[in-house]
Amino acid sequence: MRKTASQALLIVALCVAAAGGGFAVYRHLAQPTVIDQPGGVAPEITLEDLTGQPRKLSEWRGKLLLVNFWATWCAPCLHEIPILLEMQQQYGARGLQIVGPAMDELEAVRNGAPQLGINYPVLVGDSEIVDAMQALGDELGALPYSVLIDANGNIVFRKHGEFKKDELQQLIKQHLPAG
Amino acid sequence: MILRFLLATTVAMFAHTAGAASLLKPHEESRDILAVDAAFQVQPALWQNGQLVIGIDAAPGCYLYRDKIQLVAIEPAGYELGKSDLPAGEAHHDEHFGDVRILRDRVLARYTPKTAKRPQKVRIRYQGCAENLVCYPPQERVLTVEAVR
Repeated sequence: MRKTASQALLIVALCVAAAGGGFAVYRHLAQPTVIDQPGGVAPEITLEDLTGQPRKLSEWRGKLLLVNFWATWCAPCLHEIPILLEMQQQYGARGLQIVGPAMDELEAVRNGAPQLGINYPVLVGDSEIVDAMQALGDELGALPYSVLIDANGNIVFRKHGEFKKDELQQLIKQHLPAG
Repeated sequence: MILRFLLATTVAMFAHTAGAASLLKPHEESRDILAVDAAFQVQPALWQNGQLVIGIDAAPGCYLYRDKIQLVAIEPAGYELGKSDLPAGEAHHDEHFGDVRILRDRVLARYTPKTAKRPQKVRIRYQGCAENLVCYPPQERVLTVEAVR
């Protein structure tokens, strides 16, 4: 009888430990990487493209605009570019427009963007990019930094770090303009 | 028999919970992304016994590119700091910079100028990344050199 009771106690203790351990692991691994809270209308931002032409973000109003700040010297930025290319290819006709402001030297981007096969507009600058990032909510000064702006010009999502394909696809589907 | 079954169930429960969580988010994603000044904390520039020492504390998971650490004296003008004495660091292959050496944890840069006179102000440049998360653009800080008695 006593043996059965101690066995039961052991089982209960193991169950509690397993549940606690599992929950701790879940909490640790499931922390979001989204640091900034979205909100508000995106400010007007003007940056030069690779030909030196000034481009305003508002020229893409009416589309779901993903502004992906990157640099040729930023390995995590390079990792996610194939996913961005795929998303632009897949959802461009349904209203997605990706724009890639690069914090870099003009020549580096002129050489790097074609090599990466970038199929969306690339903008370039130095301190102008820092200012643009801050205007769009960046407080960390880290790349990649992505801001999703809906068709009405509202910031709906911000993120530092690489997108995973499923994550980005879900976001795009959620915010694509009706049509 | 019952005890064995319950033990197996308990172990399976733990493994399943942990496994499901690992599918939700890869491990590296759980790390916080730090602001650049938290990722790399520049310590005061100290002058002692004819030597200038500057420390940069890289947060866990963050690293500095060794050859991107550059220090120049800006006061007095024309002051020569001489060659830096930096740790060797570890070999790293970077997709953009190629084969480089990187530095982690506390990085001490030492300079022994030919003159025994202390520089007043120095400018340090550095650049680094949080491994597999983000990279930070080149940083620049101006520091007043403090004499240590």
